[in-house]
Amino acid sequence: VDDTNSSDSGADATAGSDQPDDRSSRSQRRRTSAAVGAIAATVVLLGGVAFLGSRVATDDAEWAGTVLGIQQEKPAVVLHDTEGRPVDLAADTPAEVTLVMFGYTNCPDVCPISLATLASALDGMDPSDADKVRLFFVTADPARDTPEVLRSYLDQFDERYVGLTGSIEEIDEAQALANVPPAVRDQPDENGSYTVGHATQMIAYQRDGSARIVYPFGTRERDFLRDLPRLLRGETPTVDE
Amino acid sequence: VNPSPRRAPVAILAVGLLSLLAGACGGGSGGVADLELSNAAIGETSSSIAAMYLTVANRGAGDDALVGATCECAGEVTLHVTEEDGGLSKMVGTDRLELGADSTVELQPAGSHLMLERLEAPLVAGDTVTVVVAFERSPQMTLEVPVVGLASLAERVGP
Repeated sequence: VDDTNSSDSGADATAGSDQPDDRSSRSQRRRTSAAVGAIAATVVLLGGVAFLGSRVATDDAEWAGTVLGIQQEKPAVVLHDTEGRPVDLAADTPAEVTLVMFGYTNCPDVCPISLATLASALDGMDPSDADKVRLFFVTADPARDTPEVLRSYLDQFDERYVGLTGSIEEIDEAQALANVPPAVRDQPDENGSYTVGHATQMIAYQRDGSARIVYPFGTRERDFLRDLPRLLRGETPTVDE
Repeated sequence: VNPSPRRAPVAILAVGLLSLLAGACGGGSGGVADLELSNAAIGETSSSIAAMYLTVANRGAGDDALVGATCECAGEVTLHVTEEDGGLSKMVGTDRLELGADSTVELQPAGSHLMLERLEAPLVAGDTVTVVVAFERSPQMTLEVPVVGLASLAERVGP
């Protein structure tokens, strides 16, 4: 009786996070952000060739995130944390795994789900491992996201999350170096409210300063629980030939 | 957290009047919408905004549209579609969400949602909120919507 369009599997999966991790739901989710996927696919195609013969560590187990064909380096840009301290994303991020995402606190749909899902995964990890993962949430809306607003927003999810802000130019530079398109802020409406278009993936940099994998919006808690410990162990995601 | 589906009673009554209505509808398709709402959930929040998701199945032969919602908990409820454009995810306000005959529409993260704005109080997982959803042709429906943890909403992200 019921139609069997693909969205049904999404609806059925809402009850809890203990669903078996089947491949089909994962591949559906990867199509979530068509544009990001298309970019990633292009990168994978290009990078697949570039990477042949240069891989360091091969691992047969599949990664839950989207593996980049061409690794990218931490953005060498200085922003400021919610205490006003300068943070160089390349030099001042010594965690074993540095996650970077761009967003804004008035984002009701995408950002809170991403931040809560990661927080839930960190809670589920060995605490000493969780402490080796650091998320940097860079606001794409510095006018409204004051350090105070950013801090109290992030504290809802995980007090270890680092909020970063800066000028629009600095934030645009960070996005360019992180290989995501710069966020776009709409014109304010009559109430002064506006939305911000922004990239939604979390970029995962490892200890050597390189990111080889990103986590698109819709990454499940179990996906982080599967991948993060491996990234902490220094396994390097590589594209399948 | 799968509340029992709610049906528009008028839609069921109207099946018998199909032929009469067909002439009166004008413009749209000839049949009558038969809406079933399920799977509604609101993400918990301690800020002043929250997103509500649900599944709307139109099992009837006529088109309809979701045109808004109200909640005593919120100053305003607006309808948004999140669009992907050049790698950017962007939320756009909209007046209506088409509910075509014999089709199912998912309001889901990164797709579309009802946004509860100017909330009176934080919404905590486990709470239940009464939301009235309005349609262009079918009568409004009142839903008791559970507030859920945000991490569980990642499970709703569709293709």
